[in-house]
Amino acid sequence: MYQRSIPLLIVSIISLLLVLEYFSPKTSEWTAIHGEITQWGVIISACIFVYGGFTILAMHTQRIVRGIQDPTARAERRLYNSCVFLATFALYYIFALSEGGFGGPLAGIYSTYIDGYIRGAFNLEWVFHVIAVYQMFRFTSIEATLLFTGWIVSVLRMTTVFVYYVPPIMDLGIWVTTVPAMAVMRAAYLAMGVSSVVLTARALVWKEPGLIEVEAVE
Amino acid sequence: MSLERFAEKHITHKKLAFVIAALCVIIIIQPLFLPLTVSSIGQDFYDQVQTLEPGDIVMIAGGLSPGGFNTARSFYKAMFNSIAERGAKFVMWSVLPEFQPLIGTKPSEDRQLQYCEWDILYDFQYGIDYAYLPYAPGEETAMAAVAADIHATFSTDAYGTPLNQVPLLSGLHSLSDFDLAIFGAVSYTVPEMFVRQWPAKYGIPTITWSNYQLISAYYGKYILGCLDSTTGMAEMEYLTRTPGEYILRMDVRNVNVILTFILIAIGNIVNLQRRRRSREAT
Repeated sequence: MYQRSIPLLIVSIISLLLVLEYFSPKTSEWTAIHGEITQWGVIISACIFVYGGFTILAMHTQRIVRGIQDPTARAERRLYNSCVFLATFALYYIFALSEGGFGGPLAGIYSTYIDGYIRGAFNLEWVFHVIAVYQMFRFTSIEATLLFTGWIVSVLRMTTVFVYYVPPIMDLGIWVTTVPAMAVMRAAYLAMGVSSVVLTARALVWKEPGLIEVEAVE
Repeated sequence: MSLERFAEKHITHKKLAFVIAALCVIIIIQPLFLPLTVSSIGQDFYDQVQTLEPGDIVMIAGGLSPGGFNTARSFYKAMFNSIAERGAKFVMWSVLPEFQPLIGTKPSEDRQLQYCEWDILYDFQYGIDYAYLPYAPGEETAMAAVAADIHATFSTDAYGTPLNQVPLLSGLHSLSDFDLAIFGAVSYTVPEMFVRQWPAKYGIPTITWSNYQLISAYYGKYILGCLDSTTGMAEMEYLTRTPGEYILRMDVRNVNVILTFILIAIGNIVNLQRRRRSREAT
């Protein structure tokens, strides 16, 4: 229980201080508190990065060990994924260590191409975008027709040649983004915010299972 | 062959991927230079940059990384050079740790950024006209910390030189010392973080290259201009009269969207044919 209650307590106290600071007159004391909290935030985040890095390395190492012992196809796939992950990770550090920092030419070339590869893979989604709209936008129901209407306004706004010949589509697209889409996003945010406060309050009084317990059960 | 049988046989992932790839290659070889209309939000972005005066200082932040820069370098060149052309200076800070490989270990090693040629075109010198801040973890916490006090957050610039020894950075402390903030982010949480921690708190005029839908609620009050992803970047190239890769991308997008509309039409015709046949059968 302390594994979730203590971090939640720390986050709750810090959040409360930041909320009070936001609504209070800007005195030097509050400014100092705000400055101190944000500096500590950066320090804690840096520590979490190190901790997260070791956790990921440990997880992939475990997967490799299990994958070698387990003959199933799923374990084999995980084994390959983890090997690629660890090799990619190690290569970057080898370059950085050999060049005395992450800004060296080899590390720069390496991260440029890895980043480019990821972005290239991401761009392949265009194919799925095209096939998805071909399958989804058949006017078989009111929902599908509404979905299509929202989609076509957004896409036409970004299709410059169409905007050139039909200029009002730009304003219509911006209105759809600013008003109806934003209203839905706001409602979702509000629901998430209220739910987070309720869940945190329940967790602080030990009435809500935390992430660690949920993962342990799974 | 009926349209239905054609669709079943030929509209597949593999064939579409081939057609899209072929279209992209054809357009790259032979650009169409289709017409482009600048949006009001894109024009606002450009106009805000044009309000800069010699000596003004701009804070530029975002997900700057080697891959990110190289896939959008013609846009970055247009944006950075439009700032430099006004005689303004800029400080760059990235919310990604990959920023360091982009800028190298010393000013002469920022080879990828040298594509922008601000040193050749405007005689810009590191430390005097522009400077890089190091990465700080924590996303929104880091944004708040950088905005509150640069000297408390970092002891050195991105190259390890103490801040007091970098002429441009020695006199800059909080975000209030800057004249304009520009941030860019395409992920769904980062733009709001910037809005909360920068313009909402310090009242600094702020413009962005992010998806408009992510900042539309703050437009006009906190955000004064927006380049809406690929279209916006093409608009910036068009407005600065430096046509580059994003103008080309708009050609590809236009053609792909036309292909998508044709497919939607085929899908609906096929669907109608099936429904009619099913009604006739019953």
